[in-house]
Amino acid sequence: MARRRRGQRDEPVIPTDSFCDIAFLLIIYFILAASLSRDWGFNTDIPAGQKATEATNEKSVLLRNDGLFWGERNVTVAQLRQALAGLNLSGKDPNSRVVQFEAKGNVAWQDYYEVLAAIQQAGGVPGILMEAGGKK
Amino acid sequence: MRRPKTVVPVTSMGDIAFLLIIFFVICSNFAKKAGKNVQPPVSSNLIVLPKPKLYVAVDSEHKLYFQGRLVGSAGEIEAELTQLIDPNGSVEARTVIFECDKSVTKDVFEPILESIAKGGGIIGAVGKEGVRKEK
Repeated sequence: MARRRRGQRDEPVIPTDSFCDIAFLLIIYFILAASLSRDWGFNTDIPAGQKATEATNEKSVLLRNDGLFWGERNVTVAQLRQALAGLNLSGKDPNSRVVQFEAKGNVAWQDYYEVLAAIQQAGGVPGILMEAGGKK
Repeated sequence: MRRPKTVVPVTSMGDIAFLLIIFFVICSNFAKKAGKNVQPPVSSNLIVLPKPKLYVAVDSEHKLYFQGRLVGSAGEIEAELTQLIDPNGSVEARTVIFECDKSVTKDVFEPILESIAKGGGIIGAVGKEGVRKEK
């Protein structure tokens, strides 16, 4: 056994072994946090700045507090999806894909979102008609 | 006979790991989300949206956020987007992630949708995949 000389001190050592464990845990955290946070939804390019006088009955959706209307017919969101699918919009030229959409009254984003999603997913382009004098 | 103790040098591993952390921190886009009281609407057949570069949110108290900071009106968003978006840019560069609480009403969200469109943005409307229970 080595004998310590008189007056000789142990060299001070900082334990750094656990540093790499901590660092690797942080890396795993960053990788997971970066890849798991993804947003789901749909992209929609709304034509802006175009004037529309009135919605025509052909390819027009009206959302009110008392229900959803496809032309004159009161429909559910599922029925609207079916009706839009029947138009085969994705196969048409961009100008013929516009579906007029107007919301009247103070409808919630949930109802509005479902209609926008239905139009977008059917291959349509939502042409949003805004009420005159709407807040900005 | 006593064998010499085997020692694996791990000190440099820590250095490498910390360099990797610094790399991840620098390269990642920090979340610009407001992250307050936003319950997204529910719908089906949703797709994964591109990573947000431009981000607009409206919380349940009708507070409006742009890039994570509180703004006063939709007009401010339009002005900022006009400067930030190249109208001839790619779809991904023009996408503005729009996260809005499902209870927010039309008088609040419609002017924002209009201002994003006028600012040259493509709206990436955030929702939650599922089937709506009520109604």
